[in-house]
Amino acid sequence: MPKRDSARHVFGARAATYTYSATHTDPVVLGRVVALAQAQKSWLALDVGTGTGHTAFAVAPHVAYVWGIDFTPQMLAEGETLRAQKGLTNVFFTVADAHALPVASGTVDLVTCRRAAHHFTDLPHALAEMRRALRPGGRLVIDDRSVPEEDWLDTAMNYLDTLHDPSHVREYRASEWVNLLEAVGLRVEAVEPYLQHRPLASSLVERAAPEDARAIYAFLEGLEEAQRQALGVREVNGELYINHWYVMLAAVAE
Amino acid sequence: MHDFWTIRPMETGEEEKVSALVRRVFDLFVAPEYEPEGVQSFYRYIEPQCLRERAAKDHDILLAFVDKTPVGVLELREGRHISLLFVDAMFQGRGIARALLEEAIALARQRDPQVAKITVNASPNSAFIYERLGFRATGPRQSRDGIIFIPMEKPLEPLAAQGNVSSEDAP
Repeated sequence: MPKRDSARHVFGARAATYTYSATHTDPVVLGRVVALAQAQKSWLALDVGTGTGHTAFAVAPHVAYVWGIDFTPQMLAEGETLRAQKGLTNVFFTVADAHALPVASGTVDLVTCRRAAHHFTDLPHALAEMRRALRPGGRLVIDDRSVPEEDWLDTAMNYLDTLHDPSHVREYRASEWVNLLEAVGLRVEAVEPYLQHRPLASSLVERAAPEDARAIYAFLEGLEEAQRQALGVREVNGELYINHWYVMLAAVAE
Repeated sequence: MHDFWTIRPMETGEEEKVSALVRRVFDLFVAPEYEPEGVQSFYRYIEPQCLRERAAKDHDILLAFVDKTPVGVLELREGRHISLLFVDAMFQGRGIARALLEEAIALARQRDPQVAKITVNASPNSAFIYERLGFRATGPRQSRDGIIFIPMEKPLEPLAAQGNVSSEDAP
């Protein structure tokens, strides 16, 4: 199955779960996205991979309007329900592919893309599309799963997350992100890697297929102590936790 | 590029979304060049109730959709005058206005096979777009009720000159 269909399949089944996910509504992270956006009330914003719209809702009060696009209709249907509940009138949702944005070139002031890029089958192409949509001086704010700049941790986290969700393509290092953004004509203004220590069960295992869940535990059990420490695998209040790396970036269209 | 949108007439219940779309684009591109009086009279013209009443009479209101969201609207009055043509900001420059116009011309010809031209009162900011769509100014810039416009028209080729009329169109 192509990766893109796979993402639609997996997210279709998960639409309701994502809405209540504490990490995806994390006010601190969303607040930081809004701060990096430096949005103005006259701006048009595009939220790529909007899911159920959490980032679009956070940006909406600061701009003229936000267009949220996602490849998964079920996610957008959930987002539309949330939008109506919140009474937001300047958020719009459209089914579209991040690799072929249905917007005219140079029309957008702000592009946001949160926790979505690691699902894109061709990230350089998707970033080129975001750059195309932006007017000169327009801003891009990325927030995504990431991995540290160490080969072993990079391999281990990408392995675990692909087991957790086969529609993951790759979680990129901060340095890769900078190179990718610069390659499409964006000037990187901020690079902010961060880390969350999250329960292993709810963050990695619960949504995985049974055989993949077994593979996750088998992998972790086979690790040396130093490797477990590097991954942050340890018990907190009787529950096993693990590190998740993220990166937030802000860039400007040249 | 054409796979991004579909065009169909406005349906009852869609007036509020259409009104909001037009107002959003108007506020961005047109309102700044109008006098306050003109802005208010335009707002009254696009109230959902007014759209509904005109659609029920002799106006055709066509919508362009991307997915389920209207991103473009064209209103054709009496089968020969464009009284609204708006495409949402991010979707401009992709041929949506041209596609709406082509549908409108097809409708105008259904209403009157002899129709010779389509007219529009273009806002100064949008006149260049109408020029690209084959319109020419027919008079100087004017102001009426605070609404500033340039009268324009697009001559239509007689149907017969376009080749055979298909058998479906024959009486």
